[in-house]
Amino acid sequence: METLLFFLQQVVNGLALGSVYALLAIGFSMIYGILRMMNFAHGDLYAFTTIFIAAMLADLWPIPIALAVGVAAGGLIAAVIERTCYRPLRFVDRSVSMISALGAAVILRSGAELLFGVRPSPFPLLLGQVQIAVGGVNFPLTGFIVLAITLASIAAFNLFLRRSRLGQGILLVAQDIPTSSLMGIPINRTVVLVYALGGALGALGGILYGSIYGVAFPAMGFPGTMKAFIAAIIGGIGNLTGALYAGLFLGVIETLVVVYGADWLGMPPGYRDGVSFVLLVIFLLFKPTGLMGTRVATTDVGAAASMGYSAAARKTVMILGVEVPRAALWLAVVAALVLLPQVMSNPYLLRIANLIMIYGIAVLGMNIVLGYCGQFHFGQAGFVAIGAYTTAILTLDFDVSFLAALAVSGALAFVFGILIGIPAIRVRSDYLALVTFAFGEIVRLFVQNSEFSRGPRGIPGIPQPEIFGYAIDDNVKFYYLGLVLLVLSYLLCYRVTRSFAGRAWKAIYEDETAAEAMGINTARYKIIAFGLACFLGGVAGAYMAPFFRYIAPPTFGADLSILVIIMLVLGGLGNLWGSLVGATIMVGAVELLRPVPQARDMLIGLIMILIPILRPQGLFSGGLPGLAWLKARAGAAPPPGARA
Amino acid sequence: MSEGAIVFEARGVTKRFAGLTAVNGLDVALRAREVLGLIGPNGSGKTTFFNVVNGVYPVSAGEVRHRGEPITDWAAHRVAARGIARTFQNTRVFANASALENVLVGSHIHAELPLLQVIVGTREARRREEAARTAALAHLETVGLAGRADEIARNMPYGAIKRLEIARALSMNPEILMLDEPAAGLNPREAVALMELVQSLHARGMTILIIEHNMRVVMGLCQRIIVIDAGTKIAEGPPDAIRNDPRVREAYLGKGAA
Repeated sequence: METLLFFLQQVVNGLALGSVYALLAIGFSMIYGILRMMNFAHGDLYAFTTIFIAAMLADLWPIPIALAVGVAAGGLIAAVIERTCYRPLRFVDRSVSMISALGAAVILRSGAELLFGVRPSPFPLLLGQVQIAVGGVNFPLTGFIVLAITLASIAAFNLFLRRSRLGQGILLVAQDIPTSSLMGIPINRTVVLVYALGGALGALGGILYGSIYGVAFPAMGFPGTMKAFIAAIIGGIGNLTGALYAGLFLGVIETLVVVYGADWLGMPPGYRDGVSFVLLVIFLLFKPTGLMGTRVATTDVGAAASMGYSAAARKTVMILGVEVPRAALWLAVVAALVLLPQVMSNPYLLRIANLIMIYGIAVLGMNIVLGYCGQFHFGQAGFVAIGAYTTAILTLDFDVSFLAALAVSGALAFVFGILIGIPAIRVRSDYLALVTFAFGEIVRLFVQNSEFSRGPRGIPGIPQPEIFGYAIDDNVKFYYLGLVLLVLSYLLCYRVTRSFAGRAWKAIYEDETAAEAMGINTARYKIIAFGLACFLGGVAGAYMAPFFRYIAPPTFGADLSILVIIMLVLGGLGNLWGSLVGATIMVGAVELLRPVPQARDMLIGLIMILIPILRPQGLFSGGLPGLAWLKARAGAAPPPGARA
Repeated sequence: MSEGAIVFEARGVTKRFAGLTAVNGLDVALRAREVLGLIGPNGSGKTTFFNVVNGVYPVSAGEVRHRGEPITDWAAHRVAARGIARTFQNTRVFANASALENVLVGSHIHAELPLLQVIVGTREARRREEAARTAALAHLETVGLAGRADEIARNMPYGAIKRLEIARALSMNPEILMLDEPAAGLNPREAVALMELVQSLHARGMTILIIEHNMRVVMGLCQRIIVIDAGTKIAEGPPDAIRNDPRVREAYLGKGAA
C-alpha cells in the first residue's frame, strides 16, 4: 500500500515537471511545425523570463503585475528575436539558420547572467507547499495545481486557435505558407504572433517551474530547449495535443526512472537528462512520426542546399590546371607553419596555436559529415570526449604508449561514429541533430557518473606522450605533434572529398533520390561520413588529453559541439581550409575575450547571428575574398557564392 | 545479348497508394537494342511505373526481372548498379555542382573502390579517377555540353540541364536507359536535337525505354509503343498501329472522338 502511494506521489511530481515541459513543447512544436525552424533560443528565453520575474518579485512588485509583465516580456522578446534573427534566414539552408538561433540563445543566456547574475535566483513558492496526507504519505497539492493551470491554459490556447480569426490564420499558415499568403493572410504578422505566443507559454512554464522548485537560473535554458524538442518529437511535430501528452509523459518517466533507478540500481541522479535522451533515440528509431503525428521530418535538402551555400569553392578544385599551384601554395603554408615556433616563442601564443589545431581536426571531421554529406551531427563533443578519456585512461592507468592510445581512441570513436550513423538511414536532418546531440550528452553523463573515469573530478596528471623514446614535454614539441596530426587529418579529408566518396556525399546532400539512382548506396556513405567525422573527433581528443594534462566532464558539454559547428559554418560548408580559418577565428575570439566571459559570449552570439544573415555561405567559401573580387572585376566569373 | 531477346521485364506490376491504384497489373517487356515508348495521358501511371521498377517505391504486386533475374523491390542503387540508368521527369541534377561533377557522380559505380586506397592514394585509385574524368568529358561532348563542363548546374538553361541529366546517366555505362519525358519543356528545335541524341544512343546499341508526351518524338524514335491509361495497358504495337488504334484515341481525346 505504502509503495503504491509512494509511486503515485512520484507520478504527481512527474506530472508537475511534465507540465512545464508541455508548456515549453507547445511553443516549440508550433514554430517547428510551421516554419521547420528549430528555435534553439526557446529554452533560454524561458530561463530569461523566469529569472526576470524572480527579480521583480524580489523587488516586491505585486505578484499579479510581475507575472503579467513577465509573460508579456516573454512574448515580446520572442517577437523581437523572430524579427531580427530568424526572418532574414527563413528560406536559407537550415544548418545556417540554426546557427543564428543558437546565437540568440547565447545572447539571452549571457544577457541573463549580466543583468541578474550567474547564481540561482530564489523564486517564491507561489502555490504554497500544502500537502494532503493519504495513508501516511503526503501528496503535494502543488502538483495538482500546476497540472490544472497547465491544462486550463492549453485548453484556452486551443480555443483561441480554433475560434478566433488570428488563430485560424495560424492554422492556415501551418498548412501552406504560399497558399495562405495568396489568400490574404499576412504571413509575417502571423509568424511573429506564433513566436510571441510560444514565448508567452514558455514564460508561463517558467513561472510554474519556479513555483515548484523555488529557483530560477541561467543554465536551465538549454535543457529546457532540449526537453521541448524531445517532447515535440515524441508528440508528433506540429501536433499540440501530442506535445501536451508527450511533455507530461516525459516528466513522469524522468521522475520515476530517477527515483527508482537510484533505489534499485544505485543509478546516480545525474542521469536524469539521459533518460529523455534515451527515450528520444528509441522513438526516432521505432516511431519517427511521434506518438500521435503522421508527418515524418523529412526535408527537401535539395531545395535548401540550392539557396544556402556556394559550390564555387569546389569549382576551383575541379579545374585540373589549378591543382598544381594549389599544391605549391600548400607547401608554402605548411613550411610557414613548421617555422612558426622558431619565430614565435611566446608560450601563450603557442598554446593558442595548439588549441586551434585541436579544434581544427574536430572541425574537419564536422565538415565531412555536415559540410559535404549534409547530415546534422550535434555530438562531436562526445567523440572528442571518447578520444580524450580513452587516451588518458590508457596512458595513465595501463601504461600504454601514446601512439597506441591514439590509434585505439580513433578506432573507438570510429566505431561509435558508425553506430550513431545508423539512425541517419532512417531519420533525416533535424531529428538526426537530436539523436547525435543526445549521444554526445550520454557520453558526458557517462564519464561524469562512472568510477573508471573518476566521475566529476576528472582525470589529472595525464602523462606527456613519448614517441619512439622522444618525450613531448613542452609547447613547441606539442605544436609539432599537433601539426603532424592536423596535416595528416587534412590530407585524409582532402583525398577522400576529392574522390568518388566526396562526390557521393555531395550528391546525397543535394538529392538523395538522384544519388540512389546513380548507384550510390546512400546508407553506406552516410555511415562512412559519420565514422570519419567521429574518428577525427577522437583524434582531436587523443591529442587534447596529454596537452591539457587534465580533463574533466564539463569540457565536453554541448557548447563544444556547438562551437565546432560554428567554426564550420563560419569557414563555409564543404570548404576544408575554411574549417581551419573558422577554428582560428573562434579560438582567437574566445581567448581574447576570456577575461570578460559574458561580454565574450554576447559577442560570439552576435557573430553567430550576423554571419548567417550577411554571408550564409560562410566567410571564406570560394577562395580568398580578395581573389574573388579580382576575378569578378576581370569579368571572369561572378564572385563565389553570389546568389543566382 | 542478341537483338530481340528480352532484357528487362515487368510482369503484373501494380502500385497502390492508399486506395489509389496508380499502376495496375502492367506487363512491359523490353527487348535488347530497341527503343520502347511508354505513353499515356497525364496521371496514367507512367512515372510511377518508372519509380517502382527502379526501386524508388516498393511494388504492391508483381515482379520485375533483369536478364531473367528477379530484381523486384531492390534498393534503387542496386538496380542502378545492374546497368539500368534513368532520368527524372522534373530533372534532378545536383544543382550546386558543376556539369562535370554531375557527370562524375554518375560514374560512381565504376570509380568506387575501398576507401583506404583513396586515403593512401594508390595508383589504382588515381587511375580510376583519371579514367572517370576522361569518360565524363566524353559524355558531356556526346550530349553537346563539351564547353560547359565547369558551369554550375543551377545556372544552366533548362535544355542544357535535360542533356546534362542524360550525360550523367550515360556515365553509368548503362545497358538500359530509361528516359522520363526528356523532351518536356523544350522548344521544337531543342526537341528535334534531343531526338537525334536519343537516336544516336540507340545506334550505339543502347536499349531505351522512353516516356514521352511529344508524339512526333515518340513516333519518330520508337520501334514499339505501349499505351497505358489509368494504370492499365490499353494498347501495344508498332507506331503505325498505335496511331490508328481507336482505344488510344479515346484515352487521349475522350469518348466519341474515335
